[in-house]
Amino acid sequence: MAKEMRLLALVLILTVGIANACIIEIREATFYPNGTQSVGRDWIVVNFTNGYGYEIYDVQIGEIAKIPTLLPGQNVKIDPYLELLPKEFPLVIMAKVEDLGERSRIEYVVKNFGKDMEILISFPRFEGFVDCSDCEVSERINFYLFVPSNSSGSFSITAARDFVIPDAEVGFKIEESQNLSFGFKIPISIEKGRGEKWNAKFQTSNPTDKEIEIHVNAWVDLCGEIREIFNESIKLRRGEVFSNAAELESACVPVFFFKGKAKAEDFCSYEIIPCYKFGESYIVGYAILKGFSYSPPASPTPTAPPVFPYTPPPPPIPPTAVWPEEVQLTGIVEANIPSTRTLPLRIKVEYAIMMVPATLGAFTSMFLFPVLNRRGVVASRSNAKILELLYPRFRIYTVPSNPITGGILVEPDEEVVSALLSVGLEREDAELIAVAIKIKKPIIARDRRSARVALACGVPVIGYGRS
Amino acid sequence: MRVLPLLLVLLLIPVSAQRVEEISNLNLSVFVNDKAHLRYEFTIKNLIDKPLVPGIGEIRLQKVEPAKLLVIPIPFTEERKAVKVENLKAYSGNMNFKTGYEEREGYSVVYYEIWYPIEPYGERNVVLEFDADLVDRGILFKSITIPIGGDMDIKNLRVSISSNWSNCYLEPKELNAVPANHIAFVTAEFSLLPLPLLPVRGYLLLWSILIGIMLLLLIWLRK
Repeated sequence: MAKEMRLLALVLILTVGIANACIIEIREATFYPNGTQSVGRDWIVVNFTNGYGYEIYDVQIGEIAKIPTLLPGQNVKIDPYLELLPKEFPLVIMAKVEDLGERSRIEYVVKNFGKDMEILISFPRFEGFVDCSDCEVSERINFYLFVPSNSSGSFSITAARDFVIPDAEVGFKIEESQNLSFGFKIPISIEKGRGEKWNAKFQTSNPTDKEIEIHVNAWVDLCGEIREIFNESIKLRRGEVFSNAAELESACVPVFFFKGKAKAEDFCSYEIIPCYKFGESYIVGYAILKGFSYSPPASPTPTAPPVFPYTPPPPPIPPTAVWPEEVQLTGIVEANIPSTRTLPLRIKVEYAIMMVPATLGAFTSMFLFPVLNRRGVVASRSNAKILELLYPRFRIYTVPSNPITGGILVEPDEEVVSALLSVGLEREDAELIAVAIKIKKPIIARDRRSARVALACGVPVIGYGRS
Repeated sequence: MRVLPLLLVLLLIPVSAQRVEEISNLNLSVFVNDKAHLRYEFTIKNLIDKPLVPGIGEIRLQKVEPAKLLVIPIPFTEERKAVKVENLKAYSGNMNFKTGYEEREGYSVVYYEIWYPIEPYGERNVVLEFDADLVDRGILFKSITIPIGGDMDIKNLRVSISSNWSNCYLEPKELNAVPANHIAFVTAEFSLLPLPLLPVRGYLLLWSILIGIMLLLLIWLRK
């Protein structure tokens, strides 16, 4: 009964105990039954409570954290993101299998090279389990050990001849201390008096139950002239009082100043707790003790050695995951994250509905409209018949001398028209060619001569009209 | 020319067969402007009787767009791109968490680190917020698609997506929970036009109307 109570107490300490430590070092660890261990990520968190009963400031917790100010009873939790170099726990756990014929006896020896330690080892109940000594058996097989410093403890499990021992949890913590320093307010007083001279008595005391270091500084203001009285650092034991006095002559009323800063050094609890990785999370308070299997050959051959898991290299830090190859896109419906490379039909259909008009729109705006825009022709009323065929596929540009109804009237360059008139063309033909040159469109020539001139000017000609 | 960017956001927190933690509350608030401001307010609940450290949580962002020939999207092709992230922060009360952002080949990772243990059966409220360049912007419409899900059960989920433009599409209308290893997509579309909430995407409706008008015009011109 007493053992069960101790076991329960240890479980409680391991699970809720982290709230009581000032500094918690959490170290990922795996023990192997061949006596080795691997450690992974090792980090620190701060859980500091001002238990001094007075306000403290400039709290320096080693090199780990600095807290500006804390009221009495105030708690701060800090993650300083301080990762340490992984260091092995001072523990060795070894398993030894003894063949008892129909059964096997597994003896675990735990060697502790550190301080006295309470250890909880918890196995899931496994197939082939028969019995154990000094244990508590329920859904799990729990062993409680108290292993003094630099000594060892042991426990044993009796199992079937062939067995597979699963991974176990090993709960423990290592308690150390962390030095810290902080400042706090001290009671100070000045007694000012006047006899033949002005005098002042400065006094302060150590209100704490520990030795403190104080820095005291006093000065006087003599009508604007500042004169230092003393400036020193001293140590005060518990309840000790510091006092000093000054006397001076002055025509004006002096103003005395006294400043004291106290600094105390102390310790807080520093706990090193194991943890193990579970998925991407870490379960704190326990390390893993790897399981192993044992399957001896049929007698009379010698006992086969148990198969211990090999010691893997320390896990990589920090953990990194890879981007899943693809994600199945199924709208609001659930989809497994690691999935196939194909897009679901719903997405494809939606995509197609969007892309077809979008592509059509882009094509129309970028290619079709410009092409259509280029399909213009320069003509006059003389070409009305053929224009009936061309409209509306062609845009019709026309000339001022003989415009066609519905055509876009373009004013030709008069210099070009004059030049073309000088070669003997009629004004209407000259204007047609001049407009065609200006807007870079073909013309519908009225006769062979004007067609030749247009071609000579680099204007495409749609032959129609008189020869 | 509009393209459809698909955003993949995976809230990846510890994987396990047996659940040791869950997101017992998740409020996702998204404000859609030129960029999207995402604010995840979530509660990580420790489901076991031992202290638990969540470790590194990640949100992965990816834009999936069709490959382009100059500016024209090529149908049924896709290009996966990283999403630019700015103003990233994560905190819980007065405790700031370390955060980071990395652009990797084809996707971006926003991560936050929580190394402080959560007490047995305890909870930790976390706020994670950032601006991400994941809005699909058009002249009249802009839209955003946000998958929500991961390796933990997400309970009591509330999603609100807002913008200065009028909300013309939201799918699904209601989403309260996402089981572990599942993912749900929330799509919202906003329009410069004062459109009501439509049963279909606004840009699809607009294109359909425009194509219909064009067809009618063509038929009319043929006559």
